[in-house]
Amino acid sequence: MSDETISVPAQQAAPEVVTATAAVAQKVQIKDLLIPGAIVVAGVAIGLGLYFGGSISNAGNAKQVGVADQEPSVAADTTSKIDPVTEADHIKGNLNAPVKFVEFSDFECPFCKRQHEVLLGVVEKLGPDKVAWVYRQFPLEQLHPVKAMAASMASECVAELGGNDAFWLFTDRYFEETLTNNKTDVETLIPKLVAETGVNKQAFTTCFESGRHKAAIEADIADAVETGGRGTPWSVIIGPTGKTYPINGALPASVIEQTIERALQEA
Amino acid sequence: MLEILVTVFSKARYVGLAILSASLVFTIALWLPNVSFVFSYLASGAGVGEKLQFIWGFYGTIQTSHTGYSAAMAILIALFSGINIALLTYYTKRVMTVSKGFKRVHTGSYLGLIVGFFGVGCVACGSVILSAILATIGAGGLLLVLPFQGAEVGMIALGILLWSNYFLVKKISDPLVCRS
Repeated sequence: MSDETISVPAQQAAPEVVTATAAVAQKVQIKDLLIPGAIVVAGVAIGLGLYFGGSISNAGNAKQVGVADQEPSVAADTTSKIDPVTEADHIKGNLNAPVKFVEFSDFECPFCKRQHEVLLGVVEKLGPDKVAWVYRQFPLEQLHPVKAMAASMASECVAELGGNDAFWLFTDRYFEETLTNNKTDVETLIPKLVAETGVNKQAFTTCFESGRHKAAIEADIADAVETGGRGTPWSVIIGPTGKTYPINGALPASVIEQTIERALQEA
Repeated sequence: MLEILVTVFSKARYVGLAILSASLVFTIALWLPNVSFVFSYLASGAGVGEKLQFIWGFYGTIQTSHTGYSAAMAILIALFSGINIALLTYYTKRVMTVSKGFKRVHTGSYLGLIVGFFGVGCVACGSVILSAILATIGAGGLLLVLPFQGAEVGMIALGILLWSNYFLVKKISDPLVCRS
């Protein structure tokens, strides 16, 4: 018997205090069930707390369910269904790089901003011969109404009018400047960044107002959802063998680099 | 109250258990949003050193995938979970010496705790990651009506954990008696 097993405080030891006997063992009082009950409740609370506890900065977390509800059955790994990377994609690096880091991102998501900073460092460190960073659109309309979609559409118009480099210039600069969580003054920032890219202002306005890239953006969103994306950033690392690594949220550079190196070694 | 806590945590085994449990809860909280990714890496041909480095690196998600609030919640909930498990173990050992039948009841309580972990998974929800479970049960819709879109649940969880810890300490301090 361990030393702590019967540590009954002396002042509370009434005459009815009993020693451990087999007879007592048969009776578990209902009151005692409160303990396990409390623990069960606490356990559930832990789960719920950890599950939902982080959503304060991204108020509106629940609205993402609107996307999730479109495809509730996501238990299986569906990342292999990702649309293939082609020249039509926005690629930083080399299309023929053995590893593709496909990121589905939202211009107004604070964690996409963090991921963007991380990835800039990762692709610079590893170089275009190892990894290609592919940017796909995943604006969360319900979380960041109007502004996220506006930024996505603006970036697509910049890509159409100024090419891949202009797209990345716009994107890099947007993530530098965005206040995130729909706090960005897009009416000021977008024209400013468009000017920085050197794209014709009138042509941009025509493109933006036509909304002609909306279908392509929605196709990206569908691709994200189909591959298991339920929030942003959602990423899929595709190795040279076609093996995929699905990533929820923003990861540290060391983890991303290590995974890319691992994918390369599996070739 | 404090006396009981000192009594329990003056024993190295309970301090160790609390730390281990807290670390486990914390690790699960960080891993669960990316559990398939973590396991696919761990199942790869990477060496042991690489895998350990990967695991260690993953703790960095507390910075990249969390707000200050969610990071604090993850740490506090893990901490109080560790204390809770240590107190429960202490209490269980104490009661089991008197009532062997109690063992089954407490097994159920541990099970409840484990079941609770299944709800873990969106501590990285700062990045609005919602797992399939949430979508499947449609629980996310409930969050729409909450003033802080679910962030308050973390506070409630903490409150319940504190209550549970208090209740356990109180029970530990109770004498083992036959009630008439």
